[in-house]
Amino acid sequence: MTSAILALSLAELADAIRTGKLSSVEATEAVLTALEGRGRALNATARLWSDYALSEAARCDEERAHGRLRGPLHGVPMAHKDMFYRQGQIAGQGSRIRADFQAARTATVLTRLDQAGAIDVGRLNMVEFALGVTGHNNHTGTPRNAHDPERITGGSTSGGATAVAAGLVPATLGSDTGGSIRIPASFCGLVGIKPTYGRVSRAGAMTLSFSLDHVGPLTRTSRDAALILQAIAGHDPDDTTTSRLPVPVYTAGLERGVGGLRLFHATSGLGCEIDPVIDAAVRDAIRALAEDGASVTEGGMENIARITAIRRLVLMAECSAVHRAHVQQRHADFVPQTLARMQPGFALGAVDYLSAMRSRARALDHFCATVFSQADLVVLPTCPVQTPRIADTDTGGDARFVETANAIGQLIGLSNWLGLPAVSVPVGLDGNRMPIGLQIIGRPFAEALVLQAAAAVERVFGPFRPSGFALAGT
Amino acid sequence: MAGEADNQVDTVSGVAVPRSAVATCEELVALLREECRDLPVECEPGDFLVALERNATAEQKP
Repeated sequence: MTSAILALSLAELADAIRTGKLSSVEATEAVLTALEGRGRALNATARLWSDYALSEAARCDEERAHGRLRGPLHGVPMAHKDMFYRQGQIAGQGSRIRADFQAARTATVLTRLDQAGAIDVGRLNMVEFALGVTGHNNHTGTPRNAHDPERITGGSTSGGATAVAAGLVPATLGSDTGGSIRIPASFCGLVGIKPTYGRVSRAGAMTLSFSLDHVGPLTRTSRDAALILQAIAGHDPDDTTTSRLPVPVYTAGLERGVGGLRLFHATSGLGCEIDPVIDAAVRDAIRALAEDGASVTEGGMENIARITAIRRLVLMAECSAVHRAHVQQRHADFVPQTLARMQPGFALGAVDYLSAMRSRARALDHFCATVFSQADLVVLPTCPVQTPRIADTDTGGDARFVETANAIGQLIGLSNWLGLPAVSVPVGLDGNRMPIGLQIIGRPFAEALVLQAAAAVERVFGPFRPSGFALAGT
Repeated sequence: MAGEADNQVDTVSGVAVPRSAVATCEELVALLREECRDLPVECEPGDFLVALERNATAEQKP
């Protein structure tokens, strides 16, 4: 029974609870057991709030019995990255430095998930302060990929990604400053969407780089991603960067396919080589979209090296500003990988930082004018390299580690800097039977279109089911 | 450890970092300055949020 519950997608689980086929208590017990068992084995679980979760689940069941539903996610258990604040609870942020940090407020995204009826059962491990794309964390233990426990999950939403891939939770929230939703989604075979900058509130979520941080879901299907995004998107007075543009119905177009859409397949000017196996899988997926009615043009990206450089500078400068006191006072409490990625930011002067920020709007205008005048969506691999082994990438903070991290995130930063919505959707397996992700990028606020294309990809490759490795023993 | 300390460089932010970190920053700044060399005077950081909404498609606008 537990495995059957855990194998359900978020939409299926919500439907089962709503219609009374399954109680919220049963679902919550299954998730808590899985997170306590396999979740610990995978280094995914940080802490669980079992009593709170089960009591909320019981209340949800009682309310349903009286015909009251809180929202579309009524009674659905979820757990999230250890950086989303819940008032009075620890948000350790994958760190030793803030291991005992008790949040004074609840993140807006969590309040919105609460209003939709979701039950927050606990926190999942992450890269220290979300600064890293491999998933390594010496403090908590590096989360293991549900598809192969010897391989990295990607980061920084490392525990969350492997927990969803393993079927331990139906969905999770992640943050994406330089790929921390899309990279683990790609390596773990999930759908992960980074919304437009300003579409989803960051209030009450740990800051890494305030100009680049985005909050979004990792799920097993596009429909699940749409459901979560629907619940969390929209203006928030607590986050002045959020947009007042209306939020569309994200599930409305999921069945439309890609007929008539123009895809731009970015094949050159990417600043890196694409692994041939990944390139072949991505081309197969794009061919399938063409057969579904999309027109495809191939071409080069201009300025990606410069954009990637600028994004790295801004990220490093902002997170250095956030953590300067920590670096000065508790240097030894950082994991080496975090310091290695942050340190160049301390050397950036104010004039250069401000020049970067002043150039951002022009870069977005230019990209939209040149690319989105000819295409509705940009498609390219999420990661240009195959999923590395944990041991091979556990090199501390040396130059080889930084090089590996930069290679993994090479195709990601563009949409963080330009604030564009981007999704990673699985399109097959590599020679090690590890997932490969296709990245789909849209115009600002085109999340619905991006998810529509992701759903079309899913129809070609079939529905996701949790990894067998992880389900064993739950 | 002594070698490590010798290799530290003071930065504008008051935090000493490895020489290699400064080199990385300088390498990236060179690309940044190239991108910004003809930036109009009128640009300011807040323009970005306006640009996001300006570049949304008609269907996404109210």
